[in-house]
Amino acid sequence: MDKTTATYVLLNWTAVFFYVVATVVNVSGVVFKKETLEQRSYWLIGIGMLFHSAATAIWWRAVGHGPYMAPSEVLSSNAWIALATFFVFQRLYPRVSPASIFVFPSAFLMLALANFYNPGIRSLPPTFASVWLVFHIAFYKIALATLIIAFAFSVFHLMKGRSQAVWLEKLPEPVSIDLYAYRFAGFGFIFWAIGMLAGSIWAYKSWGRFWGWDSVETWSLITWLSFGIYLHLRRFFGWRGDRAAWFFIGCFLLSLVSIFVTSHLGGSIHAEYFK
Amino acid sequence: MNFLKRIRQFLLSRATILTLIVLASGSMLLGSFIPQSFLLTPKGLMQWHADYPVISVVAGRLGLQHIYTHPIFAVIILLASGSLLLSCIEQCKKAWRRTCGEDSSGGADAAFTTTADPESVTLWLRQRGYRIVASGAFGVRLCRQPWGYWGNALLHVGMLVVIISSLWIALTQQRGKLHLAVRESFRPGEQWLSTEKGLLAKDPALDSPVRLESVSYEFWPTYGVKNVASRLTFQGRQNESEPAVVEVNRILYRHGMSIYQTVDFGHAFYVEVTDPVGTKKTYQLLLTHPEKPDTPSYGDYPDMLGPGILLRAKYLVDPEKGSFARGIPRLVLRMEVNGTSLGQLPLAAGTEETLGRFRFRLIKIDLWSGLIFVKFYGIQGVFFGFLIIIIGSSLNYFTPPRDVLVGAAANGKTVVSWRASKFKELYLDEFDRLDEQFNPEKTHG
Repeated sequence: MDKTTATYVLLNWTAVFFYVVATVVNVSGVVFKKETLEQRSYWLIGIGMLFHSAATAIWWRAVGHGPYMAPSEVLSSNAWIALATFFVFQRLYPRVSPASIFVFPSAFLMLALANFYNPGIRSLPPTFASVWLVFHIAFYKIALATLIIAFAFSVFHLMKGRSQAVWLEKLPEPVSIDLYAYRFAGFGFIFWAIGMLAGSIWAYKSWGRFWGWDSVETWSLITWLSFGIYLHLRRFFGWRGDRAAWFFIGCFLLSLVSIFVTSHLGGSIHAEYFK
Repeated sequence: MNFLKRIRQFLLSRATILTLIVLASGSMLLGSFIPQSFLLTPKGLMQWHADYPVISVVAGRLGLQHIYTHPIFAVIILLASGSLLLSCIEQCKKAWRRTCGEDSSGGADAAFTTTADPESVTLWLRQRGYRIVASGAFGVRLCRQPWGYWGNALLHVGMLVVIISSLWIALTQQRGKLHLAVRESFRPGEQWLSTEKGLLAKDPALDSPVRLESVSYEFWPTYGVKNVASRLTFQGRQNESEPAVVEVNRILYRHGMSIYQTVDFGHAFYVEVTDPVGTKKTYQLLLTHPEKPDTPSYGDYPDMLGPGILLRAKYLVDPEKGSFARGIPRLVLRMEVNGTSLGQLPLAAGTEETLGRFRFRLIKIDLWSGLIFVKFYGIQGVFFGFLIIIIGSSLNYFTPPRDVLVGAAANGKTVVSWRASKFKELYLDEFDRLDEQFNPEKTHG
């Protein structure tokens, strides 16, 4: 292992360490209703993100392209963007804070998983050298982050209706939780659409077709339409509460399949990432 | 009239819309499990038929291998487009009424009466981002982020624009693929390597000959391809030469046609073959550039020299397997007759050897590259439609409008009613602040 790779791996594991500690502290803070612990977990995540950012920057410089080619790069950037998006929305909507108990573990799991892949240097195929590819990937990652938050609120809603646990009292009222799930699903729907748009512009610039019914494209459209169905059911059919939460969880699982599974299928241009 | 009204009601019904979305998604889901014929090579398709004989029979009978050109899918898209069109009209009318008229999105979510006069309430609200959108005998209607009412309308207009533009492209597009070797020309009317065309389109056609002058390419230190570019010459109408360069991600536009450089390139081997009766014929073997210096690239040519004869070719850019820099490729031919190997033959440029009953002479080696010629209109509509979808959904979820109606009550007081078009629980604090401002006794009492 060369020096750059060793530094990259070491920094990433250090970030994982801070994320794990932050998750433990954060969950304790939320469950035992200790505001100070919750606040401290944000600091720990912040320190972890510094190591994570340094690792990403070093690797970016070494490989000459952004973190979107090798599986380790993809998962690592997913984790970073999930945390960054969470903090942006947390500043805008402070009541989103409890979603951290889903966002933080997701981040450390993604980064830890990234570290198990060989971080070999992948050269950028010529068709991938496009700014539209960067937008395409970045917006799917932001969409994933907002969907994790919506997923957290859907789960909170289901838990609140089923459990008398004291820590659940700290969460907003079920109606507000339900609305946050709805709203963040809407944000996910928007960012997913932007990701698809950027992808179609990239494909047009590179191959002269904006849509090719590639398996990843098809599943991405199906996922987007399923979120469209969810939003329609809520808006026009009055779906709310548990029923809507279960439906969203189904859509969320579908989005995970679209992002993490279909890109491994052969015969897809997107499979280039994971070769 | 009644019939038309019923059709309109049917297309605007929420159940119809939901059913159409589910049907479209279901078709796509099916299309992702059943391999689509246009995405597979004939060989791949045959393999699938062999692997799944029962499913392939059912899929063949039901036309599931061309789901996106299936009449049922066309009907779903047609109904969805009709529904979207009517929905767009309705949504635009509704948005207009809500933005500029008395009509808010319904009754009030919260209300109070105050002794303050309507003007001071209105002024206070205006200072906090509410705009007057209508006034009259009913009072004054103020709205915060009234453009949010256009979110749904724009979302639906955008989807309609994307569907119509995509259909137009699907019906009218022309697409031809070529593999050209250096100094080789392609003339109008000649056979393309492969073509795709819409139902209403003719075969793609060039308006003048094109010649490949040179191919250049670069590699990353890890041997991945960094860039490929082709220098072309078009023959103009007055026989003048028009040079042009096309490279990956840099589209060349010419006379309404977009020309793309593909990442396919390699060496073209011109092999003269003398058959057992002494007839000479020159074949052009286009082999893809190897991925690594120590890994050969292969090509199979079944039945090219006669039935049952398989000619297999492989080459390395550098016979020493050291790098891609030393460009003296070595071609190796191998012949199989009815599955039995007759041996193999290394050939350098200018050399001549015998294999089986054939003599092979490598005349010359050149570079080749892949080009795609595309002609279609409507792509701007697709991207513009996407943009409208994004603006519409952003207005919808980022800027939900909040309405306040300020009117006079019978007892001389002022009635203030508040409503959020969406997510009201998340904005109720705006109402609370308003209530607190004009009803301090209630708040503190």
